[in-house]
Amino acid sequence: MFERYLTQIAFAKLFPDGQRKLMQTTVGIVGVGGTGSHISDLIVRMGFGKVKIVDHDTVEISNLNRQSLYDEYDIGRPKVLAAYDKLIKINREVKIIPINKKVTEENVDEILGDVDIIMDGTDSFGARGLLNRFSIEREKIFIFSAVEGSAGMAKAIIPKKTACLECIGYPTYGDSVPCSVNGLIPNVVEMAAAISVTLAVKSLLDYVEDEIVVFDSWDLSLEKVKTKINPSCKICGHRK
Amino acid sequence: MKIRVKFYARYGDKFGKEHYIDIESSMSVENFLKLLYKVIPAFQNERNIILAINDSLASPDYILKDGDSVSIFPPPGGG
Repeated sequence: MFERYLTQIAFAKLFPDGQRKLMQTTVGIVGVGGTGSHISDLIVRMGFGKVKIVDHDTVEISNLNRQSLYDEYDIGRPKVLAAYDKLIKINREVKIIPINKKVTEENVDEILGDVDIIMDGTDSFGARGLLNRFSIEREKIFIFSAVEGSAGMAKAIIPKKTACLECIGYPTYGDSVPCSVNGLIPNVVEMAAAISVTLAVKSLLDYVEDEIVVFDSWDLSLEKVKTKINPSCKICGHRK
Repeated sequence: MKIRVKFYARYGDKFGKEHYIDIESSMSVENFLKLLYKVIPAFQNERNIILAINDSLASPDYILKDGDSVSIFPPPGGG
């Protein structure tokens, strides 16, 4: 069973109970665009037990420079179906469920109610705000990540343990500026995905710190900003 | 005393990556921001900034000390 994962379980922190824990975990990846497609690839390759991939967009030619699961034959297809076709060929041990929907206040519990970890592949402040509130309310791990230009941020949000998006002052309503306006280099989405999946694994195995990871794929920098739950936070402060 | 200010990501491109600002003693972060808006007027148009002092997220009432480094990040929105 573990032959596929030989190299990762040779990494001391994953062997053997860590890998078993991954294989028993259900992940919801919301948004399978830039960061989300790379996250999906890593999560499936590492052998998480069940993976729900959620998106309502279709593949466009402007996606192909950075959204690793898609190719020219996928243009016009729903992203989750194109992603599913690629991912099932990678690891048949993972149960993959494509959900061709936008996550809303009305359906978030139906879509993500049974997951253990929510991975952020979204591209709007409002979507992140919804996932932040839902994860706190339902006590699920939420791995936030966002990118712009060559830079990005990521954070593990663990209810009652680490600061949420509201605590750190990240905007949680409305749309963000499209990446076609501020620019986005492909390298940074891979960096964001790698850091996000590291945070997911560390959260599961109880290694994570309360901090924002800030990175820049052009400057080749990575820094950490320590955070803590704000007792006055209207989303999570009262739940600590 | 001098406070080092580092602007990250697109803020660095827009406002310059690093500044040193002279302040009087006992200035809060909140008041320091008001001073920064005077030094860099275009910066006052930015919303939802994420601000750290040294390696920790800043609270508005933190009193700056000599040698403190202020890091300012725009909130990225893409994915």
